[in-house]
Amino acid sequence: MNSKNLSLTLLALSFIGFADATFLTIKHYTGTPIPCTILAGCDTVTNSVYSQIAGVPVALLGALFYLTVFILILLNLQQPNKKLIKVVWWLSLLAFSASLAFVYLQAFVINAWCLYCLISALTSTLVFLSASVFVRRA
Amino acid sequence: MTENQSNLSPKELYEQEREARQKQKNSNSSASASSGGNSGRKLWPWLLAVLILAGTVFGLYKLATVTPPGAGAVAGKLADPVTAADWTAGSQESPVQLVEYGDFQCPACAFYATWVTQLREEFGDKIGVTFRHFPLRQNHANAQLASQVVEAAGLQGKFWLAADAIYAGQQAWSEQIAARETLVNLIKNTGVNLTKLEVDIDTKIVKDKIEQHYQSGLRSGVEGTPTFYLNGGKITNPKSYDEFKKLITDALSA
Repeated sequence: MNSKNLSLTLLALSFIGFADATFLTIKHYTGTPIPCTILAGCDTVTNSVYSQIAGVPVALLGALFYLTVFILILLNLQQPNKKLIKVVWWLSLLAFSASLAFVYLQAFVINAWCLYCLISALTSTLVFLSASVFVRRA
Repeated sequence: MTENQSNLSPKELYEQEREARQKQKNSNSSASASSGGNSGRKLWPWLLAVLILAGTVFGLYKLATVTPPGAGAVAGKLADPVTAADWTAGSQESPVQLVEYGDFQCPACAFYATWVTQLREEFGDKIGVTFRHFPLRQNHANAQLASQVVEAAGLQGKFWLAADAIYAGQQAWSEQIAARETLVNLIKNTGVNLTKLEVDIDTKIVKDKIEQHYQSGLRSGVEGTPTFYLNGGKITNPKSYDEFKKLITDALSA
């Protein structure tokens, strides 16, 4: 994959992640809880003590992460810069680690699954993988 | 000339040099800015990105907080109409019947329970509000037990009091390994006979009834909780109490 395709992939992934995390953030601050479903569990996850860090919903941190990646990749498309890709890689490593922790919490501590959180875990993993390929090419 | 220059102090010389350097720098940067008009061409992806992101946030906000006009009706019909065997507050004779499939361990159900209680109080016998058990046993270890406790309290005519108390205390018992004592304690104040209750909780009648409710939920296409049916038609969960109330008043005046 060339760097342009990698950039586009990262743009698409961070956009999906941003939309997903933004939805969870809005849900956190407004309105009604997400219903519990037969397959995906429910709000146990987004209502749990692990859903916030010092009062900041982790969904909001996620949204900011994806937004940052989106902006950095756009910057890099305009003016290629190895440093930007490095920053994206470090950020995505952090997000990927956080996702691993959240999947662990859902599986073994909270014992419930949150579909939107799993979507974010998937996109952050893919962002990390793409960024890892990218950082080697750059 | 040379004499003149040598007259300048080192400081003045330095200033002169700096000025020259600054001039060069300025002319360089203005040259690069004018060459090709890059800055103009580079602006549109950013504008586009801002537009798309802002649109996405706006759309998601609408999606998360506003129910589309004509709220409510979605595909899905209540398979089993309310009968005398159901737990109904208000009147089953009323033209407006609301049926809820709920799970006592589900946080969203506890959230909606306060609104449903408010509807029960506000509309009284003008409507019928029915609760059916839909314990999501694979996700909620205590949901089945909570349903059994409420159902057993129902045998003593305390169904709604027990249901409200169990929902209100949800956080206390939902993650407990052995929740039975907490659940029973929560409904002590409803005036149930505890000795009878403890026996009834584990009876086949109670368990069968919950299973019947669950199966009727599956037949009605319940995929999650809470799921509401208004006059037999599945509705999307209202986003505010006022919206919920409006659905009922609209149905009453229809």
